[in-house]
Amino acid sequence: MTREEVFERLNKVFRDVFDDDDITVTETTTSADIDDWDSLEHINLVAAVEQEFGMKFTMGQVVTMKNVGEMVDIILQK
Amino acid sequence: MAITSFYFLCFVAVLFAVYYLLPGKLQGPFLLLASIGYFLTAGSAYLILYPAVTITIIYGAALYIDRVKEQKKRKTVLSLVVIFCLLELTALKYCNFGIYTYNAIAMRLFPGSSLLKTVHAAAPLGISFYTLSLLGYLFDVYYEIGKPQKNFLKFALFGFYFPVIISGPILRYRDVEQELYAPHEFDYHKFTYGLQRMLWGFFKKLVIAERLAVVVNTIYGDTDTYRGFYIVIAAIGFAFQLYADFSGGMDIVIGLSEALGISLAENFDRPFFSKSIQEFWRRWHITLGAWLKDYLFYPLLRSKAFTKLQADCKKKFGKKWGKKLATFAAMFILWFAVGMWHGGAWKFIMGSGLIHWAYIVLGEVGEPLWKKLKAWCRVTDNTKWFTVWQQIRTFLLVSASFVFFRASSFTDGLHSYRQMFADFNPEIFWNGSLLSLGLNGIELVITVVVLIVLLAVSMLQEKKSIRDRLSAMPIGIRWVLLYIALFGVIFLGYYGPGYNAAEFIYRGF
Amino acid sequence: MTKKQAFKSILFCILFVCMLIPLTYMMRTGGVIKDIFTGFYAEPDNTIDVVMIGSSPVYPCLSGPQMWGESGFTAYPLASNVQRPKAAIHLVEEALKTQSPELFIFEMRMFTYTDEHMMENMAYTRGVTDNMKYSLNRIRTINDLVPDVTERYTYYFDIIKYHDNWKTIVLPDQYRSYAYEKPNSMKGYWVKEQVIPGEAADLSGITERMPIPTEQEEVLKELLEYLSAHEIQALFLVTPTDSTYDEQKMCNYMKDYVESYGYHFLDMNAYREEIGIDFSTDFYDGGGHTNSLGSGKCTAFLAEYLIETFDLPDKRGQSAYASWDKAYAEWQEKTEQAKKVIEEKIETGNYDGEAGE
Repeated sequence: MTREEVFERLNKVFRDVFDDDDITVTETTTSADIDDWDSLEHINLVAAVEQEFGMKFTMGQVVTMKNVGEMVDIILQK
Repeated sequence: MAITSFYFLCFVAVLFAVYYLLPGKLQGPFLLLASIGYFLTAGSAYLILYPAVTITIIYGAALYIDRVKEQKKRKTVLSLVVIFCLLELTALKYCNFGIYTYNAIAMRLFPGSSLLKTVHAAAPLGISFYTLSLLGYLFDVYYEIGKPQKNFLKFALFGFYFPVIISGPILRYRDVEQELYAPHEFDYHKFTYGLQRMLWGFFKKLVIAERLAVVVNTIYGDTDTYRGFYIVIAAIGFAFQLYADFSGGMDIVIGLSEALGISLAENFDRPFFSKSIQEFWRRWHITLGAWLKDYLFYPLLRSKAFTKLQADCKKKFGKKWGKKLATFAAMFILWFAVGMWHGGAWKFIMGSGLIHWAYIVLGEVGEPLWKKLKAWCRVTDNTKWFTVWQQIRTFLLVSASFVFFRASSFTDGLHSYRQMFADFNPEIFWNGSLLSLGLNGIELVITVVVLIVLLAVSMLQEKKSIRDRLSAMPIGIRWVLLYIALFGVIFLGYYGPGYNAAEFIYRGF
Repeated sequence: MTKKQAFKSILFCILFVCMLIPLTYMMRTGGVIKDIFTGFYAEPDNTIDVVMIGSSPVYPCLSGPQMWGESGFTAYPLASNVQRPKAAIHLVEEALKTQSPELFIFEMRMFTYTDEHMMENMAYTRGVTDNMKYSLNRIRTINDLVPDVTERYTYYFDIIKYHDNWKTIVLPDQYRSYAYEKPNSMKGYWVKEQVIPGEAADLSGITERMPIPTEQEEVLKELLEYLSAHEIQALFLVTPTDSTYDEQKMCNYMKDYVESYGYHFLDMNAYREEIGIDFSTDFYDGGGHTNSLGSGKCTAFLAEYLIETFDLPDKRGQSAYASWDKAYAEWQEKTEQAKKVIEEKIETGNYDGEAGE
C-alpha cells in the first residue's frame, strides 16, 4: 500500500466521520484544522480508521498522534 | 508559605541567586532540596511521607513495567499502583464524602440511628496534583510512550517540583523531562519574562481576585439579606474571582519556573472567550482536562465494556442515538471524575462535574430545538454577534455552575438559587446598595477598572503576547508600564496586616 | 547576562527604591505624631536646644514656642502616644544625627506600665518606628521594639501596612511629606481647647517607693548608662496628672534611681501649688493631659526650672530663629483663642465629656 493510497482511503473515512465531503487531509493536518474534531470525535475517528484498515492503534499512539502524517506512518507500519 | 507572601518572595530571590551561581549539574539536586524544603513549610513535617512514598512506589513500578514483557504482570502492577493512589486519595480527601452520604441516607431511612463521625485527616500539599502527574508518567511508561527515569533523585525532582505542588499545572513527564534536568545558564530574556509574568499573576491575585472576594463573600455570607440580583452579582463576580485567583496563581508559578529556565504547560487560555462548554474545558484548567482525556476518557472509550455498551445501544436505539447515548454514559463517568477530583462533596461533583455533563447533553439532545430557535431569530453562525452571544451564553452557564463550587455545600448552593429568585430587586443597581457590600465608591470603580484592564490584556493576548509587545517598546515606556504594574500591586493589592492571608482557592486540592 | 543588561536591571531596581521611599513617606498615616516627627526632621541642623522625648502628655503640655518666646531657648518634642520606654535611647540617637541639644528631657509616665500592656496594640510601637526616616538606627529600633522576628518585615517595609492609604496622596499634608520633612508651624506643640473637669488624689503624703516593672527598670538603667557614657545632659520628669497612689510610689522609686546616677528628676505633681494647676479647668480629659490653660502654667514653671538648673542660651533676636518667632506669635494667638473657648465651656458647663471616658 502506498502512502497516496492510504491518504485516499483516509479522506473517505474523515468525510464519513465528520459528515463533510470537502475534507482533504494532508501530512500536517491536525485536530485544529477540522471543526468538530474534538476528543470525542477523535476516538470515533480512530475506531473508524481501525475498521477501515483492519488494524489497531495502541493506547499510546492514540494519545500521542500529533497529525495525520503520523497516523499514516503508524498505519503503514502495521 | 503562601506564594503571595513576603517570605515566599524572599525564598524565591534566594533560590534564583543560588540556582544561577551553582554549576549546571547541581541545579537539579538544589531544586529538589528547595522543593522538599518548601513542602515542609506547608504543614506538619511528617506529611512529606505521602508524596515520598508515592514517588518511590511509582519510580519502582515504572522500572518494573518497562523491564518486564509479560502483559499480565505489567497490567497487575499498574492496577495495584493506581488502586493504591486512589485509596490514598480516598482516605485523605474523600472519606468524609462517604461518611456524609452515609449519614444523609441513614438520617432519612433510619432516623435515630447513630451517625458516623467525620474524619479529619490532614492531606499533604498538592496531593491531587502530584498524584496525577505521577500516575500520568506511569501510564506513559505502560503505554510505551515514554522511557522510565532511572535516576531516583531526578525522578524525585519531578514528583516534588515545588512551583506546581500548590495548584498545578499537572505535569506531563515527557514534556518537562528535557528542561527539568538540563543545566540552565542564566538567560536574561527568560528571566525577565518570567518575572514579568509573576508580576501579572500578583496583580490578578492581589488586586483583582481579592477585591472581588470582598463583595462575593459579603453576599454569599448572608444570602437571606442579599437576595435577588445580589446573587447574580455574586455569581458573576465569583467567576471572575476564581479565574483571576487560579490563573493568577498559575502566572506566578509558571513565571517562576520560566525564570528558572523550565517551561511548564499552560493551564488557561482566556477561557471566558469560549463559545461552548466543551471549548471552555479545553481552555480552563487545561492540564486537568488533558490528563483526564488521555488517561481516563480514551481508555474508557476504547475499553471492551464501552464498545459492548455502544453496540447494545446502537441495536436498541439506532445508529445515531445509540452512539450518542453510549457517549453520554462515558461522559457521565468522565464528568463525575472531574467533579470528584475537585473534592469529595456533592457541590464539587455537581458544580464542577455533572452540571457540565448536563449542559453538554442538553446541548446535544436539544440540537434540533436550538436550530429552530436560531432560524426563528434569523441568526447566522459565525457572525460577530452570534460569536459574542455564544461567549456570553457560555460564560453565564459556567458562572451558574460555579455557584455550587463556591457554596459550602450542594444544598447551600440550591439555597442560593432559591434566594436568587426570591426577590426582584433591580433597584440595587442604582440606589446605592452596591456601596454597602464592603467596597466603597472608589474601590468599586477600581474593581471595574482592573476588570477592564484584565479584559484588555486578554484581548491583546489573542494576537500577540503582552511581553513580546513590551520588549518591542522603547525602554522608557516599557519601564513606565512595569512601574505602574508594580506600584499598582503594591498600592492596590489586598495584603498586609489587617488582611487575612490571601490563600489561593485551589490550594486545598 | 551582558553588562548592559546588568546595568539596566540594577538601574530599574534603584529607581524602584527611589520611588518607593518617598511614596511610603507620603503614605504613612497622617496625624499629630507624623506632623511632630516630620516637623523635627525639617528643623535646620543644630538649632534645637532641648529635645523632649516621651508620650502623649508631652506635646499638649510642654510648649516649645512658649519657652522660646519667654526664655529664648528652643525645645522640640519627639513624642508619640504610649511611647514605649525602649524607644527613648533610639530617639536620642536619631536626634543626635542632626541636632546637638544642650538637654534631653524624658517624660516618664510610660515607665510605670508593662511592655505587655503597651504591646497590646502595636500601633503605639509603630508610632515610633513608622515615623522615623529609613536608616540603620530605624532598623535597630525595630529589632528592639518588635520581639516577633517574623513580624519585623512589616516594619522594615512599612509600605506593607500603609499601602491602603494611597488615596490620601492627594492631601497636601501627605504629599508634602515625601522627604519626611515638613516644617511644623508650632514646633510640635498642640493647642487643646477641650476641657473636662476632674479630681486628683492628694499625693503629698505618698512617700513609699514601689518598683517599676522589671523590663522598664532595665530600660532605664540602659538609658542612664548610655547618657552617662556619652556625657549627655538629661532631665527626667513627670507632668502633672491624676496619678494613682501606686503610680506615685513608682514615681518616687524612679526619682531615687535616676538621682543615684546623678541626673535630675522633676516630679511636677509635687509642685502642683507652685504651678497653680487646677484639675477642674486645666485638663482636656479630666486629669491625664493638659489643655491650653494647663499647658501655659506647666511650661512657665518648667522653663524657670530649666533656666535655673541648666545652662540654656537666650537666642532671641538671632535671625536664624525667625521661624520660632513666628511660632511664638501663632502660639500666643491660638492660646488666646483656646482660653476664651475653654472659659466659655467652663462657664456654661458645656464640657467635652465626663472624666474617665
